[in-house]
Amino acid sequence: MTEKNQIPEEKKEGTAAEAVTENTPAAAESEAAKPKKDPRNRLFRSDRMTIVAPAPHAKGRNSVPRIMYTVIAALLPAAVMSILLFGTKAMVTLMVAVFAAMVAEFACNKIMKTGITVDDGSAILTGLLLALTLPPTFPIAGTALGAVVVIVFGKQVFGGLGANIFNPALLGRAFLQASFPVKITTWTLPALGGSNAYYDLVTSKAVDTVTGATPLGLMKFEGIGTHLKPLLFGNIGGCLGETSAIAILIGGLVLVILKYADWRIPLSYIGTVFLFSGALWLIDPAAYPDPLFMILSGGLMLGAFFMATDMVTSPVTPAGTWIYGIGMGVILVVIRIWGGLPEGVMYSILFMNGLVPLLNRWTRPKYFGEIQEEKKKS
Amino acid sequence: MNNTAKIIIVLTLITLISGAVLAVLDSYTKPRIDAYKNKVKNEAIYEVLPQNVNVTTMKKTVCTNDENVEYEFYEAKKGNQVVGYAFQVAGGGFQSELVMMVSVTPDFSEIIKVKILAQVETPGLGTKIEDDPSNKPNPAWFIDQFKGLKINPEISYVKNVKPSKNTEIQAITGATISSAAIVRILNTEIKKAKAVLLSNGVAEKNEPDKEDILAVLPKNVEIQKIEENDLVIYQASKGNDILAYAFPASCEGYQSEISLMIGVKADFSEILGVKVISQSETPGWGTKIVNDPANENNPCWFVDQFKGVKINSDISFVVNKKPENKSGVQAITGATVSSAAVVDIVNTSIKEAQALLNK
Amino acid sequence: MKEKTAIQEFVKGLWDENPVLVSLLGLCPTLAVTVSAINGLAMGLAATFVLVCSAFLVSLLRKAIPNQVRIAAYIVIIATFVTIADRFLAAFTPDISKALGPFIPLIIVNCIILGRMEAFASKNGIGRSLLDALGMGLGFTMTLLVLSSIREILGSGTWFGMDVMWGSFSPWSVMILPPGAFLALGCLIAGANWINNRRKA
Repeated sequence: MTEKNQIPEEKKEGTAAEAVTENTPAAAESEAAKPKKDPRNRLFRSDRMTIVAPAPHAKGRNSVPRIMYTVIAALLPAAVMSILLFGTKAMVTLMVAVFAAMVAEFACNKIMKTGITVDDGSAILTGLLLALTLPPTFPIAGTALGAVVVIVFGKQVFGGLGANIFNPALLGRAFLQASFPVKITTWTLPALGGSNAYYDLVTSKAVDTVTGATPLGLMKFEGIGTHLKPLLFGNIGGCLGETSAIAILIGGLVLVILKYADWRIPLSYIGTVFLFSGALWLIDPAAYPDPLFMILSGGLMLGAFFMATDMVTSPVTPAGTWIYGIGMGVILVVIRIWGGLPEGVMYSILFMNGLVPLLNRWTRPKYFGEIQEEKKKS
Repeated sequence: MNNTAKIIIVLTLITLISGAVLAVLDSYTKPRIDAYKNKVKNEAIYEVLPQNVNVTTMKKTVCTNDENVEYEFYEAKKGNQVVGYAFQVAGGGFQSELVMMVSVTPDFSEIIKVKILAQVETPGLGTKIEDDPSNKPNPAWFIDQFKGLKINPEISYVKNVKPSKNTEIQAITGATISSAAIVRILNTEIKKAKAVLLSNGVAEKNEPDKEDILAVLPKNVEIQKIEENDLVIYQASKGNDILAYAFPASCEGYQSEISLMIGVKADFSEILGVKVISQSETPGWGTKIVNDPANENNPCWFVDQFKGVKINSDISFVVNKKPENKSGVQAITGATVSSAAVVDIVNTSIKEAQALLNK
Repeated sequence: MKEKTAIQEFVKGLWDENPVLVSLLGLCPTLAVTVSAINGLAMGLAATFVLVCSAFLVSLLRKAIPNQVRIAAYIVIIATFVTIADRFLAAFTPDISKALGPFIPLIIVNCIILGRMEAFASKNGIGRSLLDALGMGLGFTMTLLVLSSIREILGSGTWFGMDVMWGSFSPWSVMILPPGAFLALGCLIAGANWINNRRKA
């Protein structure tokens, strides 16, 4: 079939399919009028898969909404744990972030005329992830601002889901970190199970709300270690979703088993951190924290299972994935031990995100019968 | 016209004209720029020192690793008593170099005050070392903590609690690194400054050259050094007769410190000579106090005027005309401030020396 | 191309050929010094001064300067005016001079200026060159003022040093950091393109 013939056919089919779906008439009309405008948006929607493509015509069960909602479900243990630990304030933060992200997504869809993508779950997931990386005392307005930045500058300016270079949630957190450096590093210790924590905070009755540094901050600035048990269960200072390693592990393992997260990424990331910091610890146990502390504290678990594994911003080849994970691990240890900041998960992931296109190119596998450039020349 | 020649001529002309324009501009703006720099520095010095003090600049050169490092100390005196030293310190902060003016008590036991001269720390965080808007009553609370802080054995910081010792300050929440950097810089630099100052002897001034002393005294005399209350006087004698005295003096000129050597007759009736030892006044204007190229016969005409001036009353100066009596000098046109400074210091230092010797 | 009227030569620099928003020239000072409105304004005016003076001289000498050395000659002329501006700022407004730091001397290599010399002043008469330079300079100044105002208001909560935001507003420090410059400039350019697209349509 020649290309000329193909286009009208696609147009026809597209029009027919659009008419069947339950879209708003306006959206369907504009889609129908310009069928080739942005096929990517339709690719990601299971109900609009009307692309003409060469064989094989296998159809998987996976779709963008399916993946997104599964990841959200996998995050639930961490989210529930954060509400248990930090009280209603945590719930408010989570809800505000998700809601603001959805509103921003909707507004962008309208302005950019790309069709509504709020219901595919990606905005909800990004908002949720952002909220889980914020400290419990973070102001509501800041959370909402961060969620808007996440969607607008993290995702939509690049052209929507699938086109962004950096993990949107982390980009938003980096924005907030640079904007409100004090508020994002002010921690409260969790009042386990106490839903009163929030009310006490807003009515400012509880002056005794303990401000507490994170285990990493304690390690970096005061040289105080934290026991492993609270690190596992989360009764420590920190961001909403990062304190309880077990809650994250449960969700993370589900993702790995379902193959929604590449197992190589958490393994290589956490493994590198463990080996690198372990080597340092063996050299001088007094000067360097022990490797178990390093992998359980801070946002490493959350980052390794939920942020670094973002399908859009991680490499596609196995070799690239290994390099990606090892690179993140090395950067993380360097920042934590020799850098000015106590925590480096965010920057390590963002940095390696930037290298992903290069990694994809370097590690592209040879196709069958490929002749290498050099050989051709000679 | 030959093209190559044209290229050369045009480019040369453009560069020459440009150079000339900039030279003229520079002579016009440089005094202002230098005066501003000087003002900023002086303000910082006076700000960290107690009020109503006389400040003199001391330069100490220390040899470290075959390298001459020059330190500048500003010595504050109330009357004849040293009440403090100020000096500039610098070191790395969180993301920028922190430059501070520090003043300490003469025995280096206590900080008088610290002022931050330059920093480019994280806005809203590290910048709180200088200005903390969240603390409305006193945005400079952090740096004010150093007032009266004891230095020995060393300064330290605490976090989130009030300091309990008189060598402790409270670090800024969220800017621990910047806070710690200041503590670290102060600890090391004050120790260094102390070592430098003590190694050369605190009160000891740079010894003037013998030539400079002899230049303002009669010929063929023997010189004897008299030291009292920090003042140094050189007594010139021939046989048993005391003929004259010479003494160093210094003052703030238009934009720099002017040091002089003054020679007077033993009975303090007449000035024998004045010599400028060091100055860095505005080139072409204030420098005429030493060297006025416009006066070809005697480029040193200005200071030479002091020779033979009677001291019965204060020396006065006149502008743009010849002095009328024997106790007046003519100021340099265009450098009145420098001229006035010299006259002023000659007057006061002669009185000081006279009072000292009469005792 | 149709010959432009004198008014058009002046106006084009303000929007249609705005050096920052359309030509994306002179981005280094645009991004670096726009942390406060006063800095943006001072930078814009200094560049305009240099631009207008250099355009006058270059246009005047355009027949005298041999083609082979024109860039060198332009640079010397530009550098002279930049030095004049630098020294005057240092002598009379030391605070602004300190805040702008090395970026005033760096006007010498600002591509807007050499670009206008090469593209316009060396080919047109004095009157047109002056109008072009003035338009470009004012376009640059305006853009810098808008950009620096956005950054100062959001990043410090002030405008020309005056408090303009409500009391509980906490400044977004990122806006006065380098990333904020890129974000704000990106939004400005996007906005300008959006308006232009709508005008065309």
